Amino acid sequence: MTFTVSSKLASYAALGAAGLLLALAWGRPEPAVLGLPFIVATLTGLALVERPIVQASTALDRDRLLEGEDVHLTVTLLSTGDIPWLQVAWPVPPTMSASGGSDILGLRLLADRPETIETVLTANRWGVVPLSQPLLRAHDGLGFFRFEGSVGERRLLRIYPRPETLRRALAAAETQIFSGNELSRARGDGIEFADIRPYVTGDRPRHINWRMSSRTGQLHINQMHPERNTDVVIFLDLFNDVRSGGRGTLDYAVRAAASMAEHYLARRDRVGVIGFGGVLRWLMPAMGSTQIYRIVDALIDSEVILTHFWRGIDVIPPRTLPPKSLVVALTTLLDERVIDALLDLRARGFDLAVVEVMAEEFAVPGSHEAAQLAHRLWHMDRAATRLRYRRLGVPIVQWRPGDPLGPALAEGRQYDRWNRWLPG
Amino acid sequence: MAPRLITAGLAFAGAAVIGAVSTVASSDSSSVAAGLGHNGFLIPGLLWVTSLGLLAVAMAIPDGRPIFLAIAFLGAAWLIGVPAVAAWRSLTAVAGGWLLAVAELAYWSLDFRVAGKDERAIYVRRAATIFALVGACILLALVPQLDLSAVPISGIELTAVGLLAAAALIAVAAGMAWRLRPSR
Repeated sequence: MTFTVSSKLASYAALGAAGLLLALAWGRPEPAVLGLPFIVATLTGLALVERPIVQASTALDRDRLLEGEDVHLTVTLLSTGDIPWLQVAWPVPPTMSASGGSDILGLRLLADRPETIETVLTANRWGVVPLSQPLLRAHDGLGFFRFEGSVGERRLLRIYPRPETLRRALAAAETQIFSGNELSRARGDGIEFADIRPYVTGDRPRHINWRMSSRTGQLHINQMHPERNTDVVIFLDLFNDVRSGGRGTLDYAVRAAASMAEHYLARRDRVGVIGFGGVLRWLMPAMGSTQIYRIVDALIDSEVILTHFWRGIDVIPPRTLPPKSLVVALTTLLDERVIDALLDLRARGFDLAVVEVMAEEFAVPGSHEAAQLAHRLWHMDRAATRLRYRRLGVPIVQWRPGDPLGPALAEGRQYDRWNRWLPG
Repeated sequence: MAPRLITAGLAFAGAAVIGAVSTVASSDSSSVAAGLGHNGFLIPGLLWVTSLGLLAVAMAIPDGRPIFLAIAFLGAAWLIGVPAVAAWRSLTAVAGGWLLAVAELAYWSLDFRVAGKDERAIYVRRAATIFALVGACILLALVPQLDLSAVPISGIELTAVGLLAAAALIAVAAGMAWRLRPSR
C-alpha cells in the first residue's frame, strides 16, 4: 500500500516550530508552551505509525448471470497488525448497482482476525463487466498518514441479456435442405397440403388423392409442402448507440438479438450473427443448443467503436451470409454506412428484414422553434429512408424500445413474404 | 464529502471559547494588546473572528489547510490577549491543549464519512485518543509553568537533556522510517 502524508502533520509541525521560534525571538515561554502540544502530537504520531499489511480475497457466488439477477460479492480481509479504521471500497461498475446504496464500508481490522464484507450487486445491463479490485484506505491513529492500495484479484462477470420469449418471429422466404419447423415453398414430403397433380411413374401410392382420381378417372396425387429449416443471420448495427437516461438503443438491440437467436435455434434453424460497426464481428451460422451460448457470448461483447472509415458489406466474410438466408437487421437506421450496406445486401438478392430500434424514443426535441423544426425534418428524413426499403420489398418493423418484441415481429410477418421479391 | 456536524460544531465552540477568553482578557492593561495602543484589544477579536471564518471555509471547501491558519490565529490571539499575570500565564498550557483539541476536532470533521462496522466503538476510541493526547500535552506543557528554579537553565545538565532529546528525536525518525519501509 502506498502512503501519503497528510497536511495535518505538516501543520502540526509548523505550529510547534513557530511556537518555539517565537519563544526564542520574544524571550517568553508562552509561545513554546502553546506549540508544545502540537510537537508532542507530531512526535507521538510519528512514533506510532506503522505501515499496514493487508491481504484480501474476493469471491463471487457465480460469474455468469442474467440481467436483473443478483450476485453476492464477498471480500475477506486479513491484516498483520491492528488498523483502527480501514475504509474498503468496491467500485461498482456503471452497469451494476450495489444494494443498500453504499459501496464503501469502514471497519476496524484487528491483527490476524479476518473480517468479511458481503455485498449484493444487481446487474442492470448485459455485458462483460470487470469487477475492480477492492480499494483500501487506512489512516494511522492520529490521521497523519494515509495508506491506500488495492488488493485481491480482478474478476470478470458475464451478464447475459434476458431474452424475451417469442412465439413467432420473422419468417424466411427460402428454406434450406434440413428438416425444421418452417414451411417450405417447395413441394415434397410434408404435412401441409400444397396442390394436386396428375400421377407420374415413380410417385408413391400413398400420396394418391382417391377422391380426385375417381372423379376424373385419372390418377392424381397430393403434393405437400415440406417442413425445412432456415438460415438466419442477425445483423447488428454497431455504428451508434443512442443513449439517454442510462439506457440506449444498443441495450435493446442486443436483447432483441438474443431473443430472436433463441427463438430460431429452438426451431432447428441455423443462426449466425454479424456485428457491423467500427470493428466487424461475426459468427458463422450453426444450429444446436451450444450455438445460443456462442451467440450470447458474442453479443455481450458488443460495443460501439467510433470510426469514420467507410465500411461496406464486402468486408463481411462470404460464408457468414449463406445463400437463401434471412438477414434480420437490428438497426437504428441512423448511420449511412448501415443503410447503404443493407440496401446493398438486398440488391444482391438476400432476403432482408429490418427491425428498426426507434431512436426517436431517446431524441427529445428542443424547446426552440428551430430545434423543433429540425426534429420534424429529421423525422421526415427517417420516413424517407424507410420508404427506400419498402420500395425494394424489404419489410421494415418499427420497434419502440421497452415494448415487447413479439407484437412488432408479428407485424413484420404480416408483410407478404412473396411480395418481397417484386422488383423495386 | 460533508463535514461531520457534531465534531465541526465542537471545533467551532472550542475556537469561540478560546477566542472569547483571549479577547476579554486583552482588556487587562498588562496584556500585549493593551500595550499596542488604545484599540489594541481589537486585535485578538479580529484574529478570533478571522480564525472562525477560516474554520468555516475549511468545512465548506472542505480542505484541511485553512485549519492551520485558524489555529495559528487563535494562538496569536491568546499570546496577544493574555495578561502578563502568573495566573493567566499558567493557563497557557491549557490553552495549548485546547488548541490541539480544536485542531483535532476540525480535522476529524473533514474525515471522509462512511458507514461502518462498530462505528460507535471507533468514535469512542478516537475521542479517547484525542482526550489522552490533549491531557498528556497539558501536563507536559505545565512543566515550564511550574517553579522554574528547579529546572537547570545552563551547564552540563541542560546539555545532557538536549542531547537526550535529540537522540529521542533521531530514534523516532528511525523508527518511523523502519515502519514505513516498502513491504516486499
